[in-house]
Amino acid sequence: MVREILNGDRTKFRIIVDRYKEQLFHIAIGYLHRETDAEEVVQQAFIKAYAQFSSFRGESKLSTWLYRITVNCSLDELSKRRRKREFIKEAHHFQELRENFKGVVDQNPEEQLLSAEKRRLVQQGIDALPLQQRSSLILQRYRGLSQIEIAQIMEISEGAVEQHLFRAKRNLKEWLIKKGI
Amino acid sequence: MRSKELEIIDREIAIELQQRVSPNFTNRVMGEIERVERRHTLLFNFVVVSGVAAALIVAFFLSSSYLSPPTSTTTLTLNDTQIESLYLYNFEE
Repeated sequence: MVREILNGDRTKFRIIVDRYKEQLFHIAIGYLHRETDAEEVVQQAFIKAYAQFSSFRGESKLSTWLYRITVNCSLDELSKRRRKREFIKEAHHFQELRENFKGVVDQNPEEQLLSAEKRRLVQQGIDALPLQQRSSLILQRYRGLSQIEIAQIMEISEGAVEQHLFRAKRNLKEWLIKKGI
Repeated sequence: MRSKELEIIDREIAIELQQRVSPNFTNRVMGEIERVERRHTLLFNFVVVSGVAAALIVAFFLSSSYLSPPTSTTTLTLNDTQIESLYLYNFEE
């Protein structure tokens, strides 16, 4: 399939997009927390993957390679966003709350607000984690990957992943306690 | 035993993961790939054409600005008749 894609057969790449879109989307959601942003990042990741397909040597699984591209695209998007954060801080807060209402339609308005606020705090806690802790946690909790797979994607040792995960959970827990949850 | 906080984290993440990619996502990605490829082809063609045009323009200006270098000697072109005349002048005097 790889050779056919390299020969310009786009229909084969469509199969890859169909197969991996949800998985990449879940990783991007972990970083960005917003459906539209996550879709945008996954689209960029697929375009990058298509353009760089010749650099895929087949030493790792295709999924690992795609996950790594998605992580990098998400981090690029976050650093772009950080540059203009001050301008959109307030609008972003309300947008986040509105997005968070989507998963809690079966609750009354007060419960919805509390639940959305709780989710926003969890998301903020994840966003406040150091980069490698955050990536390890997202790949494990949002994608359900094993420590070996996470180590391959992040190009670090399995022991380092274990440490990052341990610290990420501890920091996140402390964050939630501090916020009164 | 799992702590209350970790349960909250997992529950909130599970709710976040209920979100799905929009149904036309694959078509959008493939359309965008096609657009990017077309733009690259156009850009490549533009670069080739403008490169050839630039080379032609430079060649034209270089050839039209060419001047033959001035020489310090003056040449005298004589045909046979003139040589004969010279002969007459030189030897009859």
